[in-house]
Amino acid sequence: MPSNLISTASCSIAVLLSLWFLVSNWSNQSLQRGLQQQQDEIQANQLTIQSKQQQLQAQQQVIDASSQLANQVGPAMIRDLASLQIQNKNQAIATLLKKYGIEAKPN
Amino acid sequence: MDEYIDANLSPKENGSANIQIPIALLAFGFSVFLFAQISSLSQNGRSMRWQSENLDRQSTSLVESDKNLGELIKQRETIVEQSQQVQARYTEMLTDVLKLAETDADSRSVVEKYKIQRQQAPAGTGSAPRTTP
Repeated sequence: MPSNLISTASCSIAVLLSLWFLVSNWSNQSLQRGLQQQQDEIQANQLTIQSKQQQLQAQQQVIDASSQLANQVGPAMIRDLASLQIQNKNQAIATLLKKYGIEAKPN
Repeated sequence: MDEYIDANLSPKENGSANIQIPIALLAFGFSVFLFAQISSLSQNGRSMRWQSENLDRQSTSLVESDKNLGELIKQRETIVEQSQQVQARYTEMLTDVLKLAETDADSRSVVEKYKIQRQQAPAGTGSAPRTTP
């Protein structure tokens, strides 16, 4: 009788543990799917950010090029053109400068 | 062998008891194995939940960065538009200077000084040549 009871109890515990194992396994699989989904979302977000960073970089290049032209090369070149126009009384340069609203006058 | 047989049990009952013990041992062994597996699964579950929390934080941070970048790009649009206008104006002027340099020596000296040249568009694009100082 006691051996009968022991084997029944052992088998019952084994069955209960089997059920628990199955439930834990399902739960872990569900968690795994959730993680995969999160990783996919993150990857998509990273791609979007990368594209926006490239867009920002392109904007910065346009701003830098324009800034260099407007603050360094452009004014210096216009100064040179104006000074040549005054020195040599160059009418062609005067017309060109006038076209862009610049009028050179001697100091 | 006979001395181990309980005098109160019939031979049939005694045989049944002998089978019950190995079954109980097997069930116990299987239970131990399952318990170890469940412990491992539980540990994996905890690890995955921790990873999920981290990924959540990372995702929130990325969404925030995406939003900030979008705002920054929008803010810069006006500046970029102005820059493009300035660049277009200067490009037009440089093209005129280059054209003038073909006949005018003073303009040619400026072109040479600032190394102004036409950027040849790639073959087949058909776009107008650009100038660069």
